[in-house]
Amino acid sequence: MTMLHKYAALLRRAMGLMLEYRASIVIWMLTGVMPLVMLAVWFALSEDGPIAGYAQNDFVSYYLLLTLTRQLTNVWVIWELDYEIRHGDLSIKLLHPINPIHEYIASHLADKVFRLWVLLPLAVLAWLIFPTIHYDVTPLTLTLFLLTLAVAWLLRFLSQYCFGILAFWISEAITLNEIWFAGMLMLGGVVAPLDLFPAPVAAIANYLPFRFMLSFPVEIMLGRMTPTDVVTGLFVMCGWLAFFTLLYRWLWRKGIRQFSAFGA
Amino acid sequence: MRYLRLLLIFYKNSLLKELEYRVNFLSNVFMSVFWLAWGIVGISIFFGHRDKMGDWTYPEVLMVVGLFTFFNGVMEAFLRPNVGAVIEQIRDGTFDFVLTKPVNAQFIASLRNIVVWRLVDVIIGLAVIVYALGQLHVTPTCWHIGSFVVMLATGTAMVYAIWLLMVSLAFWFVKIDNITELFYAFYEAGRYPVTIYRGAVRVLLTFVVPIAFITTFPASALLGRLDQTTLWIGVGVALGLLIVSNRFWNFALRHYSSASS
Repeated sequence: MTMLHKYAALLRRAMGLMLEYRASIVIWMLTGVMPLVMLAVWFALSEDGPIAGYAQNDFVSYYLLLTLTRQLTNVWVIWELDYEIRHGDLSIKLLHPINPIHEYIASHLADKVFRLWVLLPLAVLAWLIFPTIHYDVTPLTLTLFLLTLAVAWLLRFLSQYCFGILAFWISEAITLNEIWFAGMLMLGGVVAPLDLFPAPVAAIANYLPFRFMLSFPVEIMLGRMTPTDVVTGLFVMCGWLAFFTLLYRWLWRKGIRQFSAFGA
Repeated sequence: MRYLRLLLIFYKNSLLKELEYRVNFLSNVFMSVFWLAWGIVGISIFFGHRDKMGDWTYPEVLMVVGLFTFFNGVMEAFLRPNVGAVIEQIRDGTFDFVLTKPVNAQFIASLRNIVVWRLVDVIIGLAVIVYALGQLHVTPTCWHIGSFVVMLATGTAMVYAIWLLMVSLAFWFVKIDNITELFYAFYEAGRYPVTIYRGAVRVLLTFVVPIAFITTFPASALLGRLDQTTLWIGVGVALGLLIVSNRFWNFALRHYSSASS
């Protein structure tokens, strides 16, 4: 069986499960509306004029797309991984003739298909309510948006997976991931677009992984970056992707050895 | 009286259980301080660009952040381990044990456990409120403190009633086990004074999901800005929600069909 066949089978199974729990997914989707709270706050604060070059309309454009990005890059793998490592359920998955990471990826993909299906009508609705929202739509920016969106999801997934693997050794894996997640909310452009941070902070945040886990695709569509900034960003993003891929491989190899040591 | 004695036994048991996991205390303190710092950095970004936030100055908004932390502690210490656990109990059938006790089911389901460590948030929240008062050089009068305490009580009652309403739904829909998370999504809006929200959003946060009564109005009370009408509306809404949630809970109980055989 090729990898593609395996994925098709995994996806079919995951889709079935998703549809069974669709009410639950809609509730999870609603819990991801924090960017809209921040939009309401910045919208009110920018009533008397633009803040750091962002007028009310810019905030609406930024946060609506950020909400979409957040929904489509959502990751929860650590909850399953942590549980399965601590309860030993992982050993069953290890018997399957495929690395467990693919099963998790498949269930996340199924979730994204479902979410997209719910989000598209909502996106149209949002556009009808705010007809003035504006993006820099060209074939190039659209391609880059889709590409960086996919990498953003990969970065969130791989980094969270790495924290999950830590459950082989420690019991606070989820707490550590919570700190990582808070970092993303702050430096990934949820609390405020990075342009609004004090310059020294923004300069550092531009190179940290958090921005590439969330706001980078949105920044591309807003069209405020110079081409040099975009290219630099893409390189840094690739660097982080390589880093987390290698980190995952290394941690997984170590963790599995540890697991069989006390699981056998 | 019997119920009060039971409550003491419940909390003693919980405390003994929690003392087994003393390391939790440290990690809870750390996470509470971390999230508080996160909230403060967040509002600092706003105040880096504007002097006021919906007519509230920095220390005043800090009080709202304190209340946000306070009620987060209330929810995590009292609600999540009790009302929040009901859904899981319905699903695996252990809710039968609650019903077979010769005590009111709502009483047991609401007060059986307490996660003592999460009271850290309650204390830190109060400390932030006191600190903010110091920054404002305001000494509240007895009347202001009194109305603050009343608003804290109404806030607690509202949060409890909303949780009970949400959880009661699980008697019909077992698959919505994450519904309490939904409240947190709205609660997130309570980090900031409700006066910054406009139009429909403000109405929603005041009367539909009354976050305003939970984090904003107690701060207004302490600052002496709460008019008596709002205070009495708050008391009324809290009592109304308590009655409605109790009715709905009893109605839902009649629909409980055990998952065990």
